[in-house]
Amino acid sequence: MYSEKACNNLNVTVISGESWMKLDNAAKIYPAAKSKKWPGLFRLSMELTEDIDVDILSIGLERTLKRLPSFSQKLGCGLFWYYLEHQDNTPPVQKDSNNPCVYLDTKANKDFLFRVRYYGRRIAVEFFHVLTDGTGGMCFLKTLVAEYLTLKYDIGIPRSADIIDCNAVPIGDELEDSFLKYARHISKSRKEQSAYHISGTREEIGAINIITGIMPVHEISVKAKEYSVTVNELLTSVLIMAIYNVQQNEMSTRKRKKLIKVCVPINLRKFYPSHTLRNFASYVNLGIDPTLGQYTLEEIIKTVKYTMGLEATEKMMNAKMSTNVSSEKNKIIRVIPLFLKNPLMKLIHYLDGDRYNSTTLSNLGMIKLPNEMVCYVDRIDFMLGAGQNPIACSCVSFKDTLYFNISRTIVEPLVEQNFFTLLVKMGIHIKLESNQR
Amino acid sequence: MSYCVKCGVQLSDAEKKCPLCFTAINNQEDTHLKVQRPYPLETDKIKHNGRSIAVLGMLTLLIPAVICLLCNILSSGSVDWSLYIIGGEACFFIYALLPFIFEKPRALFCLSADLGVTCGYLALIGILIKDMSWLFPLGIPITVLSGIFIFILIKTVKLRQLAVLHKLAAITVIVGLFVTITELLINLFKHKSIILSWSLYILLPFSMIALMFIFIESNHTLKDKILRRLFI
Repeated sequence: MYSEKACNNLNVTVISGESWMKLDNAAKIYPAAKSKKWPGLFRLSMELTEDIDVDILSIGLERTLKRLPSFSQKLGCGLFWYYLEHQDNTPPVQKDSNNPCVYLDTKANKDFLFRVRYYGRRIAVEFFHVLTDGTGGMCFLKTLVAEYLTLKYDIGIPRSADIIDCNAVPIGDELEDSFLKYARHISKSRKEQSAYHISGTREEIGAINIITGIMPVHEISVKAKEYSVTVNELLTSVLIMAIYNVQQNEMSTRKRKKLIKVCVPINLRKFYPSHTLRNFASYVNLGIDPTLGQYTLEEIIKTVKYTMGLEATEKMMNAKMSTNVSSEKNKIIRVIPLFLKNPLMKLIHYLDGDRYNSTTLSNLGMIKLPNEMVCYVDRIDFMLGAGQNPIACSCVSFKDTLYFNISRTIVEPLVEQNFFTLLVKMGIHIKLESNQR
Repeated sequence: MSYCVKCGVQLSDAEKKCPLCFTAINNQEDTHLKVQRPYPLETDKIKHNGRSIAVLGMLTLLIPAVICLLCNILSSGSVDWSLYIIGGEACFFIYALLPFIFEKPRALFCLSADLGVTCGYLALIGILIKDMSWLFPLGIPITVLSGIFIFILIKTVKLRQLAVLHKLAAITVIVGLFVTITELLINLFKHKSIILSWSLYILLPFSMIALMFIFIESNHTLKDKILRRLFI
C-alpha cells in the first residue's frame, strides 16, 4: 500500500482503502492496442552464477512488490479510461518458455501486468508496457535480484536510486506521471512519411524467433570511435544498412523506394530530474530515403549521427511529449466513453502504430551493479516483443559484453543475417545463440 | 567452439545449426547435447478464442432458424420455405465462421467446405422446387469452377516471387477464362452448343491487357516512362 507521501502525489488516489492510479500518458494506448499479434511486452533478465531457488525468488518478489507498488497493479476499466488498481497479492513465479514476450494472459497471471520467470540460472521479468519502460523495469529487476541474493547468500547489497531498499516506504516521485509534469504548451505535428516494412512469411500467433548476438563492448566502442559516433548510433546505422540490403532485394519497386526508419527510444530522465518508475521515454525515428540514391555505411552513419543530434534534444522531445499530453487533455477525447474510445484507439494504433518505422532498436546502455552483486551476476539481457513490425531489436551491455537481441515473427532471418555479417565484416567478434529447436 | 562457415559468426554450443543461414554444424562432438539450451523447449500456448466466436455465431444463427422452422410448421403443418432460411444460414456459417475455428489459416479446407455447402444448398433448392435438371449440368459445375478459380487466384496473389504486373496479368487471364468457361457451360445446358458469344468480349480484351502487363514488366524503359507519367 502507498505511503501518505505517495498518496499525496497527483496520480494516486485512495478510496476506502483501495488505491488506484491513472495510466501515464504513454501507457494509454497499450490496453486498447494489446492483442495476440501485438502483446506490448518487453523482457529483462539476469543470469546468475547458480541455479535459481524458486522459493527464495517468490519471497524476494513479495518483498520487492511491497516496496514498488507501481508494479503490483491490475488493469481496471473505467467509464472513460482504463486505470491501474493496486492489489496486495503476489503473482506466481513461472517456468520460462521457448517463446518469451508473447501474449500475457492476465487472468492466468492473477491479473498482474508482468510475469516473473526462471530457467536454470536465469531470472526474467516480462513487463506489459502499461506499467513501466526499460529504465523502470531494470530498476525492478535489479531490486528483485538484490533481494534474492540477500536472502540466498545473506550478503549486504548497498541500495541506491536503482536498487531500491525494500525496507523503506514507497515514495511519491516513483509513481508520478512525469509526462504531465514536464509537458509544456507546445505541439508538433506527428505526421511523418510511412516507412518500409520488412516482409516475410508470418509465423503462427504465439511463435517468436529470437537471435542474440554477443559481442565485446571494447571492440564495438573502438569501431564507434573510428566513426566518431556513439555505440548506439553505430548499431542503429548497421541495422539500417542491413534493412536497406534486404529492401533492395524486394520485387516490388514501391517497397524498394520506401523510407527505412529505425525507432530509437530516448530515456527522458536524462533531460528531466524525474525519479518515476513508470513510463517516461520518447523516441526518435532515424533513417534514410532510398529514392535519393545508393547509400554506403559511412553515409548512413553520418545521417544517423546528425539526425540524432537534431532530434534527440530536450526541446524536440518535449514538443513530442507535449503533443501527446495535449491529446490526452483534449476535452472531446476525454468525454468519449471507453467502449467507443477503445476500438477507435485500436484502429489508430493498427493504422498508425508502427507505420512510421521499419523496426525498433532500444538500447539500455551499460548496466552497472554494485561490487557486492557483480560477482553473482553473469549476464543481463533485454528483449522486445515483436508486433506489427515483424522485427524488434534491443541491446544492453554488462561487464564488457554487449547482448544484441533480435526478436522476429517471420520465418526468414534476412535482417539478422545481414546485420550480424556486417558486424563480422567490420572485425567484430560475434557469438550467436537462439531459441531454435 | 563452432563457427558458421557461411556467416563467419561463432555459434553457442547449444546450436545445432546456424540460426542465420541454417547451415548445419559439422562437429565431431555433439556438444549441444551436453550444454544447457538458452531457452527451454516448452512453449507458452496462446489460447485461441476463434472457436468461441464460431460457437457464439452458431448460437445466434440458431435463433432465427428455430423461429422460422416453428412458424413454418405452425402455419402450414409442413417444412418447406423455412429450409431456404436454414440452408442460407448454414452457408453463412461455413463461409464466414468456419475459418475462425482454425488456429492457422486453412484456405484449401475452408474453400472445399464452402464448395460442399454451396452444392448442398443448390441440391436442397432443387429438391424443394422439384426440378433437378439444372443441378448437375449447370449448378454444380459452375460452383466447382468458381472454387477452383478462387483457389488459383489466392495462390497467384500469394506468390511472393511474382512481380506485381505479372500477378495482374495472371489475374486478368484467370477472370477471362472463368467467364468463358461459365458461358460454355450455360450454352451447353441451354442450347446444347459450344459456340461462344458475349464471353469473348471479355476474354479477348482481358488477354490483351494481360499481354500488355507482361510486356510492360519486361520492358524497363517503358515501365519507367509510365511510372514517370503516372506518379501521384
